[in-house]
Amino acid sequence: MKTNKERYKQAFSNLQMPKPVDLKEETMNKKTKMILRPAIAFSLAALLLGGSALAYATDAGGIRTKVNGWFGGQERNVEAVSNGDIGYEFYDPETGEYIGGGGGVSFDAFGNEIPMDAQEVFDQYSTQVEKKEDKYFLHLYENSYEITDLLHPGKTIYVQGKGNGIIHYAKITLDPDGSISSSISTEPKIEADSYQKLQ
Amino acid sequence: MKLPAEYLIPQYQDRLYGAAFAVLQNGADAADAVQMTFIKYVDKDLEYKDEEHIRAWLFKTVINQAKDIRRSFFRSHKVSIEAAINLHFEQEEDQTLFETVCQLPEKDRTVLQLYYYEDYPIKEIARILGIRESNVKKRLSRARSKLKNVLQENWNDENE
Repeated sequence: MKTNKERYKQAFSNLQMPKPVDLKEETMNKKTKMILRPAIAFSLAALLLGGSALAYATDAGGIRTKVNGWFGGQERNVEAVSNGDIGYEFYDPETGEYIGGGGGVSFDAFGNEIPMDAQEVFDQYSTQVEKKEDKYFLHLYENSYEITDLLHPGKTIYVQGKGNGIIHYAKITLDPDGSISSSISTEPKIEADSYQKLQ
Repeated sequence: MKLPAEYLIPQYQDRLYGAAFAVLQNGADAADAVQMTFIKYVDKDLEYKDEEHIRAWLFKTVINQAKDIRRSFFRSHKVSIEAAINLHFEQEEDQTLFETVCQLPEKDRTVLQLYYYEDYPIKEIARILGIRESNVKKRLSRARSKLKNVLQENWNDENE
């Protein structure tokens, strides 16, 4: 006669992941985002120190490239300066104001790392979560959605909004220490209906 | 110590899925909870005593992730459990047991999954869920009573 454990295990043995866990896509997305974060933190620290602490393009040196894209919900033309590694620093071409920086890699079909170019790095800013004066915003290209009231420490939210004519799906967590982790994609990770629509 | 995710994923992903499913009753949500759990494992710079410690961390985390998902979204419609996850049972009694468990409260389902499927002792279940051992026993007892009521001779009496 079967034990209860044997019965239970038999009944529940069919439960299997619909598809295997794949860390590469998430890791790749996070790798680019993670490299961006320190740069954003740096630019914020620079602003806090006052105007004189801002770096200017004329002092930065390096090869400059013009790129454009969306940053904080606004379309901008910026100058990208290589940091000599896999990253870039972005400056306002008229004022020389430091805007942010970052770097990242993509992977080819063989898993080889390919450094992203300046435009690809700056494109990462077109969708982002930003904290600004105790408020949180989800920027999706030309649209900025305030999400402050939706966030609570330790809680993960799923929201959707439009940017560049496309629906974007975001999973955002406000960690207890106040940091934000997010994943933004044009593909929903869970049922699309489950993402709260932002107005 | 910290074991590589490449080793842990094939070992534990289906079992973590079972635990997440106990909370969420939805295949896609449960899969998401498992994915997020492994992401967290990779991202967090934690040291573990041994593999058992890692296993307990994984189960604790996937259950918490599942609860977060459950709290954070709105379900617009319900589908039958079988349709939602496309399961096939070879024996009718397996399906009956599965469906009966699925109708229990989430708190009871989670305890059942950790006790009967993962072979965790009550003390460890209490630690994973962050509740008292007496609560674990209460939930187990309540769930067993309901299972016995429905399944009759296909569920044995137990004392614990």
